[in-house]
Amino acid sequence: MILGVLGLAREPEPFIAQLLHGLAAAGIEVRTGRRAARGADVVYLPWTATAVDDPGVFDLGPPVVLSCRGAQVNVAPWNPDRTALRDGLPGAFARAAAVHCVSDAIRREAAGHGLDPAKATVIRPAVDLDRFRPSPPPAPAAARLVSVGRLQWRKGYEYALLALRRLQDAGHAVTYEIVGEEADGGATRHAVHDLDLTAVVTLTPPLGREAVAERLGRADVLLLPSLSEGIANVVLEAMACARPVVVTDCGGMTEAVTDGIEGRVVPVRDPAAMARALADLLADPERRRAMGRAGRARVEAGHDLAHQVDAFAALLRGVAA
Amino acid sequence: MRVALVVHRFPERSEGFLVDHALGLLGQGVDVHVVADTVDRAAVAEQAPDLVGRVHPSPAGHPRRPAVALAVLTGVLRAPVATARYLFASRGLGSGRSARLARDLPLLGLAPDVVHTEFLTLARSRTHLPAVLGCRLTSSVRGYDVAYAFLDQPGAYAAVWPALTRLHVLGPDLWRRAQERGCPADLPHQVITPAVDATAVPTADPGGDGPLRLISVGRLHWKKGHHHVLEALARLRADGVDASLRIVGDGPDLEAVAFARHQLGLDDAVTFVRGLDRVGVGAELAQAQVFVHGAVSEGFGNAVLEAQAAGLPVVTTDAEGLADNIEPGVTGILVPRRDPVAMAEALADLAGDPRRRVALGQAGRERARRRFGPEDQHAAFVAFFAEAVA
Repeated sequence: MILGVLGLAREPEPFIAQLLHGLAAAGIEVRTGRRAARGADVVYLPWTATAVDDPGVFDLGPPVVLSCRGAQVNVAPWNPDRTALRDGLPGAFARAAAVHCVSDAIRREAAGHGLDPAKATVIRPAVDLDRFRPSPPPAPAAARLVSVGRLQWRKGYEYALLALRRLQDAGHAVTYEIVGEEADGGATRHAVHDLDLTAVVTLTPPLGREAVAERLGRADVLLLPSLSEGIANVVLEAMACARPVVVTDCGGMTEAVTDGIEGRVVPVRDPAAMARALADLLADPERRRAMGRAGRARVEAGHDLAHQVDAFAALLRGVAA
Repeated sequence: MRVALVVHRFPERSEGFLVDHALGLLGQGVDVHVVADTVDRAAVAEQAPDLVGRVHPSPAGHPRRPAVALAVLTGVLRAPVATARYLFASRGLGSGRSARLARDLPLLGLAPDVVHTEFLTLARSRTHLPAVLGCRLTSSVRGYDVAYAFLDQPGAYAAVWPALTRLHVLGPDLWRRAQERGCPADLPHQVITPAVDATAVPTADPGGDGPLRLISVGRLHWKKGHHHVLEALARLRADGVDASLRIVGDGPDLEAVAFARHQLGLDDAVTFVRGLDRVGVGAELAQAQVFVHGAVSEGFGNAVLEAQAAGLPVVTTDAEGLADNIEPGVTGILVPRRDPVAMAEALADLAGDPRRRVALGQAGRERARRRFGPEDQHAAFVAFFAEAVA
């Protein structure tokens, strides 16, 4: 079977590259570019907006499968300047042969934009369980919080910094590292200075996957303060490293994390609740270890890369048949 | 006295104060010119006909060789002495000389007594001007310059301070922050607050019953903290106070603010009003009952001053110059930045007290008229430049 992939970034995101690599290993011939797509058995669009911006993909011949991953479905349609995307979604969903959603939450959002639920398949993100492995918990003098992800408003780092300010004021010895490209016009850096947190916060430029795995291994808690997500891959990666996670209740996060089991789930835009959850974990190393173990078990059971690839291959073969 | 004001774009919709500033100096007899990276000549002719012929484009970036040759030729023809002196004096300035010459060309022809950068960031690439033009270099410090520009580069302004003759700050807070960024305490500085022409702002009627009509005026930019205002509004409404908000402004962060509106369940309570000119903004102010400002960084806040001039009570954060802008408790209520709980409480107080809204609004209008008149500001700037050349 031949899969024609359209709308890829020049340098595809790691989780998409990982998926395509897995599909190729499963015997699916992956080709990119429009000409290849025309002769393919199935055309695959990793990004929803491609189907709206480039509706010609539906006229190439092969059936089209598209993915709903996050912001293009649950953020951009509410932007008054993106009405063309919002208005184009129902038509794109109608013409697609099948739609992949990264979470139930995203499927519900997409249904609000005209997706027939019968056409949707939820396949949640997966993590490379060999690359992200448990390691002994660190025992630093000051607890280490880590976030990984591009510095942009959707990631909600301002709220994490407000929570950290509360922890500082309450006397907790804690440091916080945010790893990711600064793409927020200086907002996060300003908040670090404005909240007088320069001594305990480090902004680190983007790291490769090995280095991310190493950072997660050194962390006491992985913090995801996002306002919006599909399902954040980095949370699964931290769980694979047997680290407890504190995440906001957005997108499909509760489909990967249960409050009190693998970590804590707190409301979005609520620094006080986030600070309380963090303080609880920081005070209880045994609970952190237990949550880490539970996290590893959960991604082993439900977010194994091999299972994700199998499910995706089955979805594509079903459409091609 | 000839003064060249250096800005990014002219005129800029969100920086109408720069047009007022130039016109005010002109009215006081200063031979004022404006040098900008980007000039909209049609807008100058429409908004400030007195400045036609006084606004000069100054190309940024690296020009091609023919453009530089043309620049030198033009300089030699128009201002031979100044150009010769410039070329001689900039011998040792190293790389980027041609780009610099093309950009400095308008200044060569003008031979100003003072070059004044309206943002400190603009002074960083102009520290050579006193030596090559024989002029004085002065600068304004705005919130952007010291609150978040170049926070990752501690020495960003190290070369600027020695090149400056005099510094203008919008208020005491910015003077303190300038020193935190390395400004020597003995650099002559002058506090000149922004001004507002209260007679040009229509008066609002903040009293009355019924659902509370809130307004925010500010660019859709993270520093304006619109999302914190929306969080406060969501709390206010959850507490049973019926209130709506109009957000007046344009900017790059529409998606973030629009998403906050949706996530907080405020789609029906919040309206974006975009593309307004100053007259349009005045008309919006006149229809509102409370002005609310959520900024996390704000040098002074012209919009907050205009709201007071319109007779609106103000609820604002304490970011930088805002505490100097309103008179807390008299013209408005000051709340901590990033604190939607405190902001919601302040709004609830005003929602339940129309008479207080009216009293705060009247005091604000009075304060704007008395303390922030354009004439005083223009006179202060004339003194500022006179001191610089003295």
